Amino acid sequence: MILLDTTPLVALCDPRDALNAVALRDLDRLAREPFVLCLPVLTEACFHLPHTAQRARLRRFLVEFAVSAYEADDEPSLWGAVFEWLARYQSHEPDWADGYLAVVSGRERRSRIWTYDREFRAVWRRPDGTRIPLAVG
Amino acid sequence: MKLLNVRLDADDTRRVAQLRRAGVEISRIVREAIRAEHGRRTGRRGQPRPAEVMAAIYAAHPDPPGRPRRRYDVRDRRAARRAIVRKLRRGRP
Repeated sequence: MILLDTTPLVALCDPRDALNAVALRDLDRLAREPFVLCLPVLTEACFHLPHTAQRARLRRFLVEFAVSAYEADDEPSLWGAVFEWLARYQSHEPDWADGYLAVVSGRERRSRIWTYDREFRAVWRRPDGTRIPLAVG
Repeated sequence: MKLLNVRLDADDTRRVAQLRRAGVEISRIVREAIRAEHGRRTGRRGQPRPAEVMAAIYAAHPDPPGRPRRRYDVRDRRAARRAIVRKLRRGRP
């Protein structure tokens, strides 16, 4: 399972994004695995893709690649874990979507996160302190 | 465009005639069979590559001419946050 982060989503849906070519190359390699999208990531992506054509591309991407919505068994408990994670890393100014992905990564042990954010590699960890498995580089 | 001639025995000739009577376009069946076999042999099973899917999406939903590029890097969380805050403030009365 690949958990999508905002950066690849925006890069794929904006052909003029600096990371578009990289994201297309990574997509070619990763598309055989199921993609899963968390609502905070989708919300964040829509802030960075405000135009009609951009959102139409995003919508088509979600359909064409059969992207599933992440559904937590107990969302309020997940929120609590995200708040704790955000407090732990507050000096690095993480956003809600970052914390959400880190916590979901801890719950879905076989998942990998597709992101271009350096912090996921260098700084942030799952709530239990283990490294967050990443899908790219 | 190339023309392909195919020899048919009596049984296949009869089958083709039945299909034509039913309104089936024989050339379409031949093209589909060629693509399916080619895909099977090249391991693609007729599925377009992800880059081809994305190219089709870009072609179907192009940016209107003259739209400026985004002026911040989404990976720069401070710049991205500022952009989101600007957008949220714009909606306030």
